[in-house]
Amino acid sequence: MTPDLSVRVGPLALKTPVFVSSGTFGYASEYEGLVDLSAIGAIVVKSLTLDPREGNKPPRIAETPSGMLNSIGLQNVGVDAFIADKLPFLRRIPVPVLANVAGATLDEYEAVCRKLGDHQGLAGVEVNISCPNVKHGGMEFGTNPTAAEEVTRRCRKIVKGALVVKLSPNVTDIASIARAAEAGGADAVSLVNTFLGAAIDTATRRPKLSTVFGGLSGPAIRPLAVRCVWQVAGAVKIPIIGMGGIMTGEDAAEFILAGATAVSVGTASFLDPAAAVAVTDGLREYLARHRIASVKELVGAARG
Amino acid sequence: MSVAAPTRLVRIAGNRPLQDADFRELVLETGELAAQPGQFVHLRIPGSRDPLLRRPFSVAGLGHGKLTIVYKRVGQLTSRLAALEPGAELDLFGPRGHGYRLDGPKTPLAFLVGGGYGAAPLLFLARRLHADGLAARIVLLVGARSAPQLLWRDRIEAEQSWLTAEFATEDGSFGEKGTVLDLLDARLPRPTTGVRVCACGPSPMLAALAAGFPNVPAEVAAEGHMGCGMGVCQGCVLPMRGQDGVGRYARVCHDGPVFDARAIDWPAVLEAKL
Repeated sequence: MTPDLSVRVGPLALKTPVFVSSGTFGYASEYEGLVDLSAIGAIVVKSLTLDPREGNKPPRIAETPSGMLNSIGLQNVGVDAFIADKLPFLRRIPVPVLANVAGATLDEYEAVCRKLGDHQGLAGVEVNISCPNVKHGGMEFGTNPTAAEEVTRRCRKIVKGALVVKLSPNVTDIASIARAAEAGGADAVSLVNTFLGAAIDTATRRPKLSTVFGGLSGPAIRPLAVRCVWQVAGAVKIPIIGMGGIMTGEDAAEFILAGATAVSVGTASFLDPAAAVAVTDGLREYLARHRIASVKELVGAARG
Repeated sequence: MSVAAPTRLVRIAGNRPLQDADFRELVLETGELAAQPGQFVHLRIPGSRDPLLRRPFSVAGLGHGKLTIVYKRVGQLTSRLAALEPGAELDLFGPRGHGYRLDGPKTPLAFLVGGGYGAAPLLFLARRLHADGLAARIVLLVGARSAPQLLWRDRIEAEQSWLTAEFATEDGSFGEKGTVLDLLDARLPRPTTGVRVCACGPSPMLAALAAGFPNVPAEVAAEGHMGCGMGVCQGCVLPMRGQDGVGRYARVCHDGPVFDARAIDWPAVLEAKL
């Protein structure tokens, strides 16, 4: 018996619960020929802003124990170029695609959502209120429940497809932000974005990143992320897309057991372009080994 | 849709120290592989969580189903690598990136200029230029601090039937005393019409090449702190000159690693200590 991996995330009916995370899978076309894209549950593309952004000065990444710090700074082509140059490819692939939207102001979030709304080929929008690497990258919306609810509500009025809000872990009470996103009309929350961190080169005695601080990802953050998912699962009824250092099917199962309906593979795609497919295969094997017919039975099962 | 796995395990055929024991030569049983000089392979110790990311290594040789790289023991991954015995496996992605130009018209005179272990891909390049008839005359200049760090001196000297090779050391212990750029300056014909320079080495050397020889077309292999190695993560960007806004940064892994030396914003590279 092959276990059933299908899940529903708000209006999205997915063949598998394994997403690829924004910023770690480009605009997907880079992976054509390297990865069987049709085996991925859903693709979240690199953050889009109203205008193109050149990103932060290098060095932008630094390796840390079992993790990496990044400070890319939302480098992206801008929403217009995305629609003109990237969307045609995404329309052709048989996988739901979410655009990730970032902004400095409520107006910018609305403007990007409105531009995307006129076009076919997108299953929905993930609202990035959690980028730690730019001054006005939305994290002020992600650290304040009132602002989080407002930005969600404004996007909800525009976005007809799935609306996912991506949460920052750099807060005292992530559950309160998740509740705000739910109140604002989000179909799901995704968590976590990266943890703010820093690393210093002891040889040069200087920070390893040009911006000093960056976002920590990779297996190093997995226990922190699982904790966040557990907290949020106890606070909201909407589905959770859990992420943070997932490298294997068992890692994915851990997030689902904590209460996530779906999971997302991020940094692991940098090590293995086909990591999301390997995680999916691993999750399927895990379910088969434990004689679990459907991944849906696993959601929150550790919560007792 | 069936897609072959983008990464694979390859067996180590050899892993030995060079004359200066900090430098090591690693031979991998890759089978037939289409790799160009200047491209890199992105390597990882299978299953490793720490170090986590892959590391890029310039292809230094290819043939008989084997691929050679040269590395210096500098950090965690290269120290782990140095301890691996033949028979052990590494996880390989690649070759990736754009190498030195191998099309276009035949060049009358090609100078290949390498500093330190940056000289690694240049003997491979010299052989390709020779085999493909892309340069009438090939001059390989290799520089290092001191004689023991001159990469593959014996092997390069054995190729003198078709290759002109000269060496420079900063302490004068072998070859000309001075830097490899001093040597280039001494050997470069004037005018420099018909000359092509291909260089590899540390950023300060490449910056000095661009500044000191602005009229000579030079292709240089840059280094970067890579994440994905395939143009996605935007981590290994290099500041480029003369453009504002978007496109100011080029990705070493995807747009390079080999760039036209004049296109790079060298002051910004040196300021960022890339």
